[in-house]
Amino acid sequence: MEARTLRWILGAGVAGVSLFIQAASANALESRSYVVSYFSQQLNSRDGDCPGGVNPDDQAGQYAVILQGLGYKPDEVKAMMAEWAKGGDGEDRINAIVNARAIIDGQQVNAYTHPEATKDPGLKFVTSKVGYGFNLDGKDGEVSFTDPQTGEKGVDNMLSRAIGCNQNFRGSWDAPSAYGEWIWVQLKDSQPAWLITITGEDIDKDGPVTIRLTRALEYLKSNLDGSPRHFMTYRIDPDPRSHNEFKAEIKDGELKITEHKPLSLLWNALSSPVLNLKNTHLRLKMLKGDTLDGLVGGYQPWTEIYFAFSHNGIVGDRPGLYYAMKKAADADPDPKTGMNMSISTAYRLTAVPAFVVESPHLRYQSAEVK
Amino acid sequence: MTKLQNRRNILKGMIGGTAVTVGLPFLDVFLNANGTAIAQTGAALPTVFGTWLQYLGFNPGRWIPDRAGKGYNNNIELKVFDPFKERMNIVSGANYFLDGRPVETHRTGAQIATLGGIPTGRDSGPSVDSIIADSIGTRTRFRSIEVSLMGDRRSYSKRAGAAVNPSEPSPDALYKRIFGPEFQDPNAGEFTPDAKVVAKRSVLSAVADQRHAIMGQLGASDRARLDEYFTSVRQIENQLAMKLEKPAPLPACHVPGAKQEAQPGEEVAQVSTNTKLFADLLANAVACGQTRVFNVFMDAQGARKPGSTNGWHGYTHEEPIDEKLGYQKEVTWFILWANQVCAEFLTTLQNQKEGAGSVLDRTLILWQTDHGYARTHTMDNLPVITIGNAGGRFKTGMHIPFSGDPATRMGLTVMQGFGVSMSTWGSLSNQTQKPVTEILA
Repeated sequence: MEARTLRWILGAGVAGVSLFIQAASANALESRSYVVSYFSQQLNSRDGDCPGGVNPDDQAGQYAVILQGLGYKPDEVKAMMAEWAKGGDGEDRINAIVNARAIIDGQQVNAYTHPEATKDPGLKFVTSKVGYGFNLDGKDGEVSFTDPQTGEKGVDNMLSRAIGCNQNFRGSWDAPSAYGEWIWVQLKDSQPAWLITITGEDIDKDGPVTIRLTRALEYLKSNLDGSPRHFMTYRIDPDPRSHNEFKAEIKDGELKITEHKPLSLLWNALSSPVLNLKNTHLRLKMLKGDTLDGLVGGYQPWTEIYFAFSHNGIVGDRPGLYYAMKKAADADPDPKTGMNMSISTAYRLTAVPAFVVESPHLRYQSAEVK
Repeated sequence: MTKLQNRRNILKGMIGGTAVTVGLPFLDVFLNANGTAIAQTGAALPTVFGTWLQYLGFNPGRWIPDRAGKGYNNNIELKVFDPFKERMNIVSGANYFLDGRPVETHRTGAQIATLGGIPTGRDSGPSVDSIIADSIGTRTRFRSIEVSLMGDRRSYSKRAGAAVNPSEPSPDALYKRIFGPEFQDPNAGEFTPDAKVVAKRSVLSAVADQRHAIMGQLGASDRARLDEYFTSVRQIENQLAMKLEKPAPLPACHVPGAKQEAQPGEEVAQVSTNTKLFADLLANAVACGQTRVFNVFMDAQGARKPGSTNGWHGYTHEEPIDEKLGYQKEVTWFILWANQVCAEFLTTLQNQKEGAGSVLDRTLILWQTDHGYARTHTMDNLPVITIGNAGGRFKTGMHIPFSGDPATRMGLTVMQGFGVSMSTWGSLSNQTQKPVTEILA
């Protein structure tokens, strides 16, 4: 063996084993791998950032507004809500009215499947000037944020403006939103984990590296207290839809993508079937204990986000969120309609060290996002 | 002189040349000195198993006792159980494991708690209560009784396959089921077999040969299905046979009077009122020998305060954490309320006296939940609680911290404590061979 310092060698000579291998030689490359241990939309909710307060924060509040919008008089709405509150058949009846409030060709249809066929309830938008994310378009506009960590101006995170006045989504760096934590807890033990592999000449020093983001065949392994377990082995899913490779650099202990290509990772229907980002940005601090913590951002198709919201009753007024995202969308104009089909986003990402093994039978390839 | 020694004493005589018999009511002389056993047989009053499944867990940092082992002090959210502390065991740090299987929020945790794993499709193994009922509940009129506190019929009590034992949401209906016309008072002097029961039993007997013949014509899969079905039929046969015998007298059995129920529903006042009625009915059902297994399901999700349209579950997702308190205020109100309701339920069992003891003394209740922390619906650091010692079969008064062990350990433990011959329970990472021996007497 050459003069190398090898850490966590799983199997020398096995093709595709990607581990913490630190090389002393200038020509040798080392790789460090991680498994994602938290991922969720990052907001920066603060008191007063929604004019007049947040949107109605319970189902009943939304229902009352919806029923008024359907033309019921105030006393009728009051009686209906009292009926709904009693539960049983009365609750089912009111639910049916609310659920089927969309109208197409004079026929009542499901409002969550057909949000365009409902009235826009006009949900509030976050008006704050401080928010997490990246300057994706290189401009500093009226609706841009200033990132509280980096001080970067022109930060684009219109998703946080669109959903941030709904109680379930409100959160901060230190206190993640209830929705974000809920999604994560539901998925962490049941969906295949996401993997990160950094490859470079000396990952402890500043310099160019390559970063791969892939999906595992295994779900995140946890300790018995529920925390992510370090140094577990994961196999890369050979499905090319979750194979991504970016040029990146390490500077002052922070990893950043320098090549802003699309990102595609198979996800879950509860959150979004696929995480598709364009103009992908990433910044991850490489912390003590070999963990990563930071943000991934880019432009995400907002209809894919709505897909998850549409069948998830805990997010608030679903058609309202549909309209809010439609209005806030800031990229990818449809060539025919001019409507923006993507919305700027930022996701918090943390990761812990792992061993990552590629299948020796399937060649690694980057995904082409179409 | 007639000697009073047999619980089936009757007075025999002749009237006008015709033999007549007159049954005697149950008398204290039939009991032992402590009232805990039937003097004639010396048999202890039978043990009872109950479950209390309550959705939405507790708040982190507010329920784990201050120390492990005996002599613990209850944390704030369990203070209401202080009167039962010496008869409780509290397990902390238990986990439900998904093993990469999709999670169905609330249901998956409850399935692991009751079935030992996540079923594939509709079929599954039997639930803990059914397994125990097969051991201790075959000689009672009701193999088990299921009640739902929130006005619906949902239940996690299952036999093998897809057969669910649905919950009864109405105390009135449960009263009629237990103490209606088919109730045979064990202390009544006279015993007259119900003609309808005789007829039902005759009908089942008549088709027995055909049942056996059909089994011989089927493939393995259909035979398995029919076997499960016939198991239920045999259970009915056994119960019918039992109804044709005079029940053993039970001095603590008093038929409760009918009481006004609240409309079954999710408002806390409705739930509180009906839980008290259910508690009274179940305590009397046990005292009257009608069942030895009961299941209480507090779905909890829709629980709401009077005049409020948001419920417990809605608050878990939507209510911000109070910055000063460090927890969700409304959610915490519901947790404390539910625990109060549970404590009142236990008090009712305790007040159902049987000689010097009570129904609670011969009962063990297994308290479980679906999620550890409802705000994020976690599947770890779960509480599992037992209340009662089932007539001395279990040791109590302990806080037992798990280190992320599967919660199914407690299911296995109580099954073994009730005499079920089982060394392994659960599936995949929820499988365990490790009962909590500290609490097995």
